[in-house]
Amino acid sequence: MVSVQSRVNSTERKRITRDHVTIALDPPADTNSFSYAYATVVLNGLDFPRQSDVVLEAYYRTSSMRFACGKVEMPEVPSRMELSDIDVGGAIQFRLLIIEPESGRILGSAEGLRAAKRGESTDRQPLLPLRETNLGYELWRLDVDPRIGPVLCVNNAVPGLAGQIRNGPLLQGLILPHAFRMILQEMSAAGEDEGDDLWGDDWRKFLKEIGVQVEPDNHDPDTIDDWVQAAVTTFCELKDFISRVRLEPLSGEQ
Amino acid sequence: MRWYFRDISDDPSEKELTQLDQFNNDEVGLAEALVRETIQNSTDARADTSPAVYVRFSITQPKSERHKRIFLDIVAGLSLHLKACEFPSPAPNDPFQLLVIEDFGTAGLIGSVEEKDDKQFSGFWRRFGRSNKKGGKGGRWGLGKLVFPSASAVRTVIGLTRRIDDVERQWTMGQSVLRNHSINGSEIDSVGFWCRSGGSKKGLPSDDRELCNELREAAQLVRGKQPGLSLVIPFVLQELTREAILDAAIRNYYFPILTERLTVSVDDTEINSQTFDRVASLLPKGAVSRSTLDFVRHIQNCRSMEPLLVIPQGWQEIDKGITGDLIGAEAATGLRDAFLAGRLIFIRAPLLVQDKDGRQYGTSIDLFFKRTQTGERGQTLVVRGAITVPTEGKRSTFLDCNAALIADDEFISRLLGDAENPAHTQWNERAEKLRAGWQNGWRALRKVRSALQQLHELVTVRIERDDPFALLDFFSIPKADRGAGAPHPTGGRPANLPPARQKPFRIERRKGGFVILPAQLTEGAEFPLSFRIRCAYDVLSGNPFKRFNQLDFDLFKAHRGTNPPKGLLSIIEVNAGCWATEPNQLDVRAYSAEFSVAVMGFDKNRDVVVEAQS
Repeated sequence: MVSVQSRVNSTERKRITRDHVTIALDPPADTNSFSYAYATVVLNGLDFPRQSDVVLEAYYRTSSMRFACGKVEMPEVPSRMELSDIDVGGAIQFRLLIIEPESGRILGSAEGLRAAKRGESTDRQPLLPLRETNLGYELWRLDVDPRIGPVLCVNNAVPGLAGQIRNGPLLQGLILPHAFRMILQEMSAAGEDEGDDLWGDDWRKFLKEIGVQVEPDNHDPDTIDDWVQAAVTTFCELKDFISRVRLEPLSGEQ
Repeated sequence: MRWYFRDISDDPSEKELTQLDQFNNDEVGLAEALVRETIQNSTDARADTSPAVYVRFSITQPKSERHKRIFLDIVAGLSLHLKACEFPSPAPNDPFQLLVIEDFGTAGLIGSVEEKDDKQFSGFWRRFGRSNKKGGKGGRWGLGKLVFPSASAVRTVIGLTRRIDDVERQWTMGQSVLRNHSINGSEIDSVGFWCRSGGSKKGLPSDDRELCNELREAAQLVRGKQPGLSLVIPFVLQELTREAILDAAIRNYYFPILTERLTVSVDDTEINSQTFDRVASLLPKGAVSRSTLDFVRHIQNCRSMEPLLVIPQGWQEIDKGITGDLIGAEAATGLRDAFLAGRLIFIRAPLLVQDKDGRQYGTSIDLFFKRTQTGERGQTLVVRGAITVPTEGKRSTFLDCNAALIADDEFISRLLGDAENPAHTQWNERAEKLRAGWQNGWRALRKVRSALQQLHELVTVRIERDDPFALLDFFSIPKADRGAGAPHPTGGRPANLPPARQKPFRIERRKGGFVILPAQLTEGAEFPLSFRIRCAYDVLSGNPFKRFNQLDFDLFKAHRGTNPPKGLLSIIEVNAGCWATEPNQLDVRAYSAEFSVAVMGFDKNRDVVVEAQS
């Protein structure tokens, strides 16, 4: 199978890749307070008019807040953004907008930005976020947003399910290889649009890191299946699910 | 003073204390069992006049040969019995260390020293397998006290107590718990007493001032005239180290320490609410998590306040529980909102318990919940009186929140204490003391056990959140090292990947539409070439193809050729044929390498996402 994807950019809006924005989030304190966000915005190398406005928008479901962050020539992000109008309890996301002051036209944007917990620092970039959400009768599901990439969703109606996926080798071993298989099958095509967020290429880097070839040139479905299976096998071997499960007694067998 | 072991040759039954292993096993190590037993009893024995209890552990050696000789002489009296039990007797040059345990702010071993009664003196020295606990205070010396001789290579403990009702006098005696054994053809009981010699009654303590003072000096006790109990364990086992005791105290008693009801010292290290963090930081990582400590401190701050909700008494009835119906929709919503907002939820659940004589007591448990932060693993704390009951906590672990069940009201603490195993790690609905002491005690216990779970189900439904780092260990790549001042990438394919494989077609953008053309390198491509095109208006979040709606556009109605009527899409094919298979999907058959398929007429204010697949 060969797949090519492109975006017809009628609005001529530029996509800003996520590495231009870093956001940290302080969860609300225990009293009646709000989350606080802290951000850095670096627009070097992006070809926007210098007088364009820079705006950071926080949103969760239908609630949102906008914070003016200066001009492209000199971004000035507020030192601390109190998210007082955002509905509590949700996974707050952000978008960065570059706006033409005269017309209000959006010249560029970075969408679906997620915050790291404040103080949480890692030298690695996570590829698969875990989302606790309402999945009806399903326990888990892999959602793939063509622009942002895959998200592993787990049903928040089951208390502790997400925690077990975070920490329990059994559920990890049952779910993650299959999720990986689905990601490989849905992996976005190597993009042709320079403005696109190429999440697929992050996963190709991951494949390279675990010693697996990127997609074969031969597009025969059997060849693709073999490639996916080889990648999943390598992943399972590296993560050693069997040994980890053996080390922890299965609940119900005590 | 001499050793007295009962001759049981005429006893037709055969009884042996077999519970020693309960205090050194996979679940609870010896240091932990010893610390738990000591502090649990000391905090239960807190004097009414004392707001807090102080427990002192010290591993020491006698300062002089004379002092050492006092203990060696005591142990020498045991040597025949040790030999008969095939326990090694210490050699003169064996390392000799004492473990000293003293409690302060307690009542001491009250009750008759001569008669068996249901008070603490008898409970500690004379009774095995059954607690003497009758009230919320006073200590419940059951099988747990066997941990003290278990900590000695010669299975021996020596005690000295001053009692709150008679602090001028001090009483001392000792005990050795061995095995049933035979000496000179006589069958000898496993339990021996180091006790007053002479007199018709055996196994009595001494209040000889000179003896007691000599013992205090030899063991370097710090007790003056304060009531309480001092224990001296000679030839303490090597595994009982200062570090092991510190670790056990921190891990098991962080709750009463942080809530200022207990201070513990181990040699010269004091653990109280102020020094806790500093001492804990010296222990191996993971002794008690930071979030648990913060949670306990938060609970402590809240306990002086009114609870957010007092559950209606009806929750205790059969077939009822803590439900939205019981507390009402408004209260349930309030709890959920508070939980969602990350606030600490403090709920009191009243209970009625009834003792074996039919007397009813109103009591309560306090329940706490607080949502964990992203990536944080929830822990559940179950506290009975001042002691944590770890296995009960593990049974109710919620990975998405920290929770606590505090049962420190006198009557529920008594009831749950009667259900506790000797190591104080869990409760048992069928415990003998529970059945004997309470009417339907098992039912009250079952309600207590289920309270956290029911409340959790009530408050935690439908929490939505993202955790980008949850699977970092499984799926991640090194962050791009931009370096200071390095230009940011503007997107596109990373340079260090293999070249993208060749595609037989490409997508070009046009104003208001797109066109599919053959790729420049079509060597080897075979015609006719079939492929499928999907298109949809882009959306801010989510999958645009899933969010497509027929009202956006309809390829079934598309005009063929240029100059379409207003509002319709147009499809222009060259050397290709195409037909709509969905409102946003075209199947294409290209006949030669000069093919093109253009779709025009989209809303120019919206971006279009196009995907072509063969």
